Amino acid sequence: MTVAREAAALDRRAAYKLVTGIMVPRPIAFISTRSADGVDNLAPFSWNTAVSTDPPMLAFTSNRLPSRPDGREDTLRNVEATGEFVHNIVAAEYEQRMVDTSAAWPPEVDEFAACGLTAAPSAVVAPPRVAESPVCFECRVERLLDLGPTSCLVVGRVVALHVADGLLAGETLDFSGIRRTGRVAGTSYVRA
Amino acid sequence: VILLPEQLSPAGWQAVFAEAVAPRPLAIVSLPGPDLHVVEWYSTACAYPPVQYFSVGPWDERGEELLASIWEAGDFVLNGVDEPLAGRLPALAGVTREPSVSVRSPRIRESPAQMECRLLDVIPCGDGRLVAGEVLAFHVRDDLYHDDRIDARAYRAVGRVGSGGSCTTAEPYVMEPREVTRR
Repeated sequence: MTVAREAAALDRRAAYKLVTGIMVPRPIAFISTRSADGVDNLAPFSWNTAVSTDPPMLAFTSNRLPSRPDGREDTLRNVEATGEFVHNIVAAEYEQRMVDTSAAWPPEVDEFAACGLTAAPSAVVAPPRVAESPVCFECRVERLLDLGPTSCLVVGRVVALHVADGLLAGETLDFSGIRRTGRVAGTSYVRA
Repeated sequence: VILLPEQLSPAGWQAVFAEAVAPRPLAIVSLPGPDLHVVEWYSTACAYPPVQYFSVGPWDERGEELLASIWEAGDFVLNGVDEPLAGRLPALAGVTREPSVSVRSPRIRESPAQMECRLLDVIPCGDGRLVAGEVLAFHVRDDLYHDDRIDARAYRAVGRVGSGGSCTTAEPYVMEPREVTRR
């Protein structure tokens, strides 16, 4: 037997729980940005995917009306102001520190320093990348798409890729050694 | 190691994304016609009202056909994939279609959770086409759905990793933000 729910009859929370509960497990885009006044910000987003290979592009969704004050609004403000971000992937080795950044940090706090993560300089864009991340994509904003009233889809074009030295095997990249952290729902995660 | 965009071919970027942007949730797109398409470059574009999207491109074997069918139908259903259904990929022989309540496209009965979507737009983005749909109705197998939440352990949803790997949500673990001292 199945339960049917009409979307129009659901409140915001119930709709959110259904969307996030059905679309699992999700990759985590750990997004670093720099504000116009130079404060670095880090926040995890699990609504993200690759969208293009030529040129290479990635997208993530940032809520415009956050249900909790967790710094996601800082990311969108910085992306809109500067047009740059870094998409860092989350490895199991530092996953707890990624989760720590999702606490309610005020805008003036640099989550890198507060959560014990290392800001490494990027090659092309101003926001630093996460040194602990085995794969980082430096991105310039290609488009900001409003596909609904409460969120913004940020599409970024990859301008540089960083991979940890250990992943390069001769001429090819070998990802078999990395353990990625994926999001399930609420505070639950899986490794892959 | 730093690589610039022109140092990898589009196929090379596809391989890097497949490894790095993972685990990816899977969805089977069902339409009025007989064909079923698996998409894995998909996500949510808006929380409320719920809007889902996926990117169709050269990485999809029958991408052009999928786009044509979606334009024609004006709607589609995204069907979640658990372990038994993943075991029937890619052929999906013998799966059962059943009528939807809000759209013309049918649902797949063997899928534990389905979203009926009305096509909102198809947006070109590089060599991808973002197919965006507003969710009009959700269907969830009743043993997975308690207190408005989906039980991930019972769902056993399958995620893709790299080009051939996978994982499931059968054994999730919990992490909460720690009390980190503020500077």
